[in-house]
This record gives sequence, structure tokens and C-alpha cells, in this order.
Amino acid sequence: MAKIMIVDDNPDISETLKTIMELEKHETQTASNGEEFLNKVEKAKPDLVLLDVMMPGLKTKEILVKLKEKGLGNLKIILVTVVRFSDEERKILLNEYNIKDYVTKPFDLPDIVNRVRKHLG
Amino acid sequence: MTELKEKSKILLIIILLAIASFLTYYFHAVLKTGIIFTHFFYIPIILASLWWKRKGLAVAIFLVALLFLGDLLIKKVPPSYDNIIRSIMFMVISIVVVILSERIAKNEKLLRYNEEKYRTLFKGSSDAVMMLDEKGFYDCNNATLQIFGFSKIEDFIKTHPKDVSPQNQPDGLDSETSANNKIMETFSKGSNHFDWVHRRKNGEDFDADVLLTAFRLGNKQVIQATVRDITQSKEIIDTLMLSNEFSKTIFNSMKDAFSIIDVHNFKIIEANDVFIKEYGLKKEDVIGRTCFEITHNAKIPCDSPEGKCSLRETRSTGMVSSAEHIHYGKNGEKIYLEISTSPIKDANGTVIQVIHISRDITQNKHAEEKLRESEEKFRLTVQSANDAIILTDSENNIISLNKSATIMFGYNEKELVGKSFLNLLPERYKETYRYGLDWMLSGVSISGKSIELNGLRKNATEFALDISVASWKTTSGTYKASIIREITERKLLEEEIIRINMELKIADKIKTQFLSVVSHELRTPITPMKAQLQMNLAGYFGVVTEKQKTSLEMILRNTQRLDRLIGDVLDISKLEAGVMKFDKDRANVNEVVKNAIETMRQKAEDKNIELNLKEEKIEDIIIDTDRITQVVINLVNNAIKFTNPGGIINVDISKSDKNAIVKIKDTGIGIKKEEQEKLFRPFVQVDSTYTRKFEGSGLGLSICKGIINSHGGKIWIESEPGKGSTFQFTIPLKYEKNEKRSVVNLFEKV
Repeated sequence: MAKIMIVDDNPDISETLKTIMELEKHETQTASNGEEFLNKVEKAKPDLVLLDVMMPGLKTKEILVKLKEKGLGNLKIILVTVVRFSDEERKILLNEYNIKDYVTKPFDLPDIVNRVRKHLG
Repeated sequence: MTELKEKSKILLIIILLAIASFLTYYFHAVLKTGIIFTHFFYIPIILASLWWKRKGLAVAIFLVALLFLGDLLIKKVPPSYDNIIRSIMFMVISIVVVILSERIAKNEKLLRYNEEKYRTLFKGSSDAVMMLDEKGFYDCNNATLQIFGFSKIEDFIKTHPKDVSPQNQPDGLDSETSANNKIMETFSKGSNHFDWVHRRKNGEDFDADVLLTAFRLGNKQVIQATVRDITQSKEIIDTLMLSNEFSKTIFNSMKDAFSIIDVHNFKIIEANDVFIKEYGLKKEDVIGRTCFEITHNAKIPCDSPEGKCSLRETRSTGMVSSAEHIHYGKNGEKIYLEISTSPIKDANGTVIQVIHISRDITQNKHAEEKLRESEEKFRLTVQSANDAIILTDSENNIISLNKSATIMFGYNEKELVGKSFLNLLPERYKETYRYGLDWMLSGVSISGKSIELNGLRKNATEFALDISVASWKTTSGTYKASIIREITERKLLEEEIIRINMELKIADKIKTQFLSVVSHELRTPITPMKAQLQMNLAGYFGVVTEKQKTSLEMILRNTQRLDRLIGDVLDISKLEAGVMKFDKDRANVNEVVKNAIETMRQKAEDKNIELNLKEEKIEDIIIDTDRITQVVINLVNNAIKFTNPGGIINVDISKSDKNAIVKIKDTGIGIKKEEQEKLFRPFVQVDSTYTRKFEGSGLGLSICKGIINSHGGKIWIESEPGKGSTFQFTIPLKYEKNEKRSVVNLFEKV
């Protein structure tokens, strides 16, 4: 039972993830872009964030930087993205921005469930 | 002493006169007898005359007077006849004695004078003069003492010649024997003149010139010896002899040909070896012949065509003259000479002979010619060069420039010679030039380095140029040669290339971005599709019936296929655009291939196909692990696709000395030769019938090709219908950065 924040501009994906997380018995909140996410995150205090890349508006990098500025650099984040990262990039993401993991779209149901469990547990 | 002697003499005479007076009185007055006592008078007369010569006559006169007085005063008679006779006798005797004694005295004086003279000469002679007999020295002068270093005559005259000589003379004979021999010789010959080595008292040896002269002194044979220290003169003589030798040696060893020629008849008086050799003659053939005979084989003195005759010039001007001249050698060959003549004048200052010195400059002349030739060549090369060549001195002033330089900068030659090279550069490049010069010339005179600058033409336009500078040192300074090439075209090209590169980079960026967006857009709808299907199948929304399951699974399958297709299209697009990013790192090929195979193992098992691996250990190489995995999976997948159940797929990992080699051999249906060519092309499937059967996208192999090519490797197939296929690819062991932009051509003509 954890608080999960889902950030994705596509409502269907957002909805789907919400469904999955709720079926996992987690509390969920959603945001459809970076700005909205940053506004809500402080109050929401999620245990884990599922963050989409390539949203309109603020670039993901900017979001992450702003998050750090707010002092929420410790927030656990899983990137949900079409992009594949190299090992180098993964290392940087982890060290700099606490990106614990990433999931490629379209994600595999069991896979994402396992990862979320892993990083919460 | 003499005063005392004199006084006693006077006293004696006075006494005698007193006695005489007494006797006269006594005999006349008292005894009144004979005058025999007058004989006694002779004593004082003789003595006085002897002693006082003319003055002594006074005594005689006194005594005569005494006689007369005796007669006159005492006897009171006139002087008797006897007395007169006696008086006359007295006077005569007195005068005689006076004359005699005067003469004796004179002789004595003369003798003493001579003696004194000789003594002085003897004593004062700067030559050491000594007297010796068979025993040794018995007399010597001061010079002798000085020369031998004795302080007293007494010490010297105890010696024998051997005592003032070293043990042996230079000829080896011992001094004593030799000295005695010399003495004996002198006695027999009368005189002897020879060199000798003496030794001073302090042990110092010196060369001496000895003259021995034999004398007869009474019945004795003596020798007068004169010894002269000739150390210095010997040195001078030696030096002179040496210098004479020296001059002779120099005369003969000088490289220049020396000769002394008489100015009137041109005859050669003296010549050195060099001169003689030059004409291949002997000395006797040269001396006395005329110079023109020898040097020109001519009958008359040489005239202007061959250069002025410096001999004649010296003869008329009395000064040193020089000229270049041509003589003819022993084989008639031309000898180029630099001649100088110096005058030898007589007492009146007229030139009677010349010293003729000639130096062979034939070689120099040849060298000069060669130099001139090479200079010409150089000049032509420089003139005809397309590049501008400019020569400058150490102050960067232009000495010369070629035609290309004048054209390049738009000046004519006169305008640039003597001016500073820096005038040809825009102000802001002058510093760069100086700096560049240092860099180009640092340590070497030709470095092959060049610098790029702008040049400034006469019409004030600038242009890009490339300068390369070489420098060299001579005795008159350091010179630089600058080779300048206009590089405007090159520069434009360079700029073009940079611009194109930038455009390409931008294009790449655009493409990459596009593809990212496409990827994102295409995958976004598929995401919820896939997830929702999975959730349904997982029973998230309730129990699913068998028919629903089948239906949902079909949709899911196709959704996944769609996803794969999108992936392939994106991959091929990236490969074609050359923007596929590879994540290359050091990895173990064996591991990568093995892992890839394992992911296909289930699929192979499901189709009852044997999947084997044979491997050779390959060292780690640089590859994109994920992409190579993609390749292996693709190939194995194909192999499974085209092999019937019960077939075998053998994977072989091996290496050659340059490559890692992976082979995937199947026992499938094989592929016809004509079809093989099309295999790696995008969207080409071997047979349209297969498309439906085998569900490929048609892109797999072209993507593999793109990936393998990006690694610098090759991928190909060996196959025969019915005999299976072997797909193989190689990857170079040594990583080389692949500059190829596009590794796949989507629009290649079939």
C-alpha cells in the first residue's frame, strides 16, 4: 500500500497505469504534464513516481532538475519511456536524479508490476 | 815609504857633503897634505846624480866649489891644476851619471808605462784572458774571474783547464785529455782556435770560443788563452740557421708557386718546388730560363689577352701588383692563377727583381662556373614556379622575388625589392607572421611547416595565403626564402566543408528528433492496447472465457507484432539516416552470442529443433551488446523459421587473426542463388509466399546488415536449396571508428 504518482500526457496510458497500480492496492495520483506534476508532488508526497518522457511542456530533464531544487531529489522515480538508455546514461540517471529504473513502452504487464514491487519493497 | 826613503837619501847626501866639507878642511887646514880624499867625493856625486839626475849636478857643483874654496880659502892659492882636472872629472862623471840615469829612468818609465798599459789591457779586457803553462793557469784577468765565477785570482790560478770544464766534452772525449791535447797542439802549431764547453764555479756549463796562443817567455813556453762565452751568439747563430732552414722550408712548402724573376730579362732566378712542379720540370730546367718560356711556352713576354703582366706593372710602379692570369701547364692545359708580384729594389730604389707568387685558382674557377650554372638553374626554377617565392634578408627586407610573387601581390619587382616583407601583410597579421616564423624555423632551417595568413595586395584587397619558410646562414647574414601559395580556393572549400558538415549535423539532429517523435507517437497507442489486453487475459476484469482468451490472445499477438514492426521500421530508418546510436563497449562475444541463443532455446524446443553451440574462446572486443544480440536472435529466429521440425541448428563461434566469426547453420530449405542477393535488402522477402507463412517484416536481415556493417564487419549467406543455409557474420577484433554515415540504402534499385 503505497502512494504512487503517475505522470503521463496520454490519458489512456495514464488510466491503464492507474488501474494496474490500484489493482496492486496502491493509492494513485496522476498528472498530465511536468508542470502539473511539480505543483502536486510536494503535497502528494508519493513513494514512487512513474514518469513519462517526451511530454509537451517541460522537458523531463528540467522536471528532474526542478525536483532536486525542491529538495525532492530522493523521490523514487521509474521512467516510462520509448527511449532505450545506454549503461552510461542509466548510471547518470540513477546517480544524478535517483531514477531507479526504467520501463520501455509498450510495457509488459508482469514486468512493470515486478519492478514497482521491487522498488517499493 | 818613499818619503822616508827620500828623506834618508837627502840626509845621506847631507852627511856625505858634511864629511866632504870636513875632510876638505881637515886635509887642507890641518893635515896640509894630498887630496886623495877627493876620491871620496865621487860617492855623493854619483849618488846624487843617480838619484836626482839633473838636480844632482848641484852636489857636483858644490863639491867643485868646495875644492876651489879649499884652495882659495884655506891654502890661499888659486885652484891647482889637479883640482881643476878633478873638478872637470867631477862634472863629467856627474853629467854622465845624470844622462845614464835619465835614460835608465826613461826606459824604466817606458817599460812601466808599457807594463801598465798591458796590465790594464790584460786586466780590463772583457774577454777572459789567462796565462797558462803545462801545469795550469798562472795568471788571469778580471773577466776570467767573472766568466768562471771566481772571486779571487788566487783561487783561479790554482786550476787546470779541466777544473773549469765538465767531465766530458760534447764530442764524448774527457776534458782533461782533450785539454792537454789542445795545449800540446798549441805548442806545436803556435795557435789553436776551437769551441769548448766550460763549467763555471757554480756548475753552470757554457759554450766557449777558445783561442790559444803560444809564447816564449824567456826559456819558458807559455800559452795565452782567450775564452769567450758564446752561449748567446751560439743561440743567435742557431736561430739564424734555423730561420734560414725555416725560410727554405716555407719557401718550398707553400702551396703557392714562388719564383724570383729578373725584371729586365724575365729570367727566373729562384723558384720553389711548387712552381717547378706546376710545369712538370726540374729545377735546373727552370732556373735561368725566362718566365714566359716556362709558363706560356712563348718566345715573348705575355700580353694583355691573358691578363695584364703584373711583373711589368711592378717594375714600373715599384709597388705590389696583382692580377688574374692564365698559364699553361705541362700538358698545355689552362691554369687559372691569381698572381701577385712584389718588388726587390736595389740601393737606389730601382726595381731589379720581383718576387712572383701565383696561386692556382683553376678549381675555384670551375667552382665559380658550377655555381653560376646552379644559380641559373635556381633562378629559372624560382622564376617559373607557380608559387610566389620571395627572398628576404635578416631584416625581412626583400632581396628578390619571382614573377608569381609580382602577379600575386599586384606589384612590379622594383616596387618591392628593398622594402620590408611585412608590407605584404595586413597589420593584424604581422604579429601572427612573426610568431609563425619562430615556430617554422625553430631549431631547423627547413621544417616543412607552413602557416596560414592573409596577404595584402597592392589594391588593398586581402586574400588567404599559405607561407612556408626556409632559412640559411651565410657569412653575410641569415637569409630566408618564403614560398607563398594563394589558398583562397582552398579556404572557400574548407569553409564549404565546414558548412556542409554543420548542415549535415543539423539534418541528423532533425532526423533523430523526427524518429524519436515517430517512435513515441507510434508506441503510445500500442502501450494501453497491450497493457489492457494483458490485464484482461490476467483476469483483472473478471473471468475470461476460453473463446475470449483466444480472441484476446490474437489481438495481443498482433499488437506485439505491430510493436515489432514499428521497431524494425524505426531501426531501418535510423540506419538509413545514419543516426542509429550504438552503445559500443568492451564485451565478451561468446557471452553475448550464448545469451542470445538461450533466449531462442524455448522456441527451438517448441519446434523440436536441435540448437547446438560450438565455440572458440574469443577475447573481449568492442561491440554494442544489445544490437549484436539483436542480430543473433534475428538469425537464429530465421533459422528456426526456415527449418522443419527435427532439424538442427548449429551455431559456431570462431576467430581468424583479424575477425571474430559467428556462423548459424541450419538444415532448412535453403535459398536459391538468385534470391540470395536480395536477402539483405529492406522489405524483400525471398518468396511472397513466405511472407504469410513466416511472419517476417522483411527488414530483419537488412537491419542485421546495417548493424554488422556499423561494426566494420561483414554478413553473408552460403546456401543451396534443400541443403540448408549458413548465415555468417564477422566483426573485426580491432575496433576501428566507422565514419560511414549510412550503412543501409532503403532506395537501392533492385
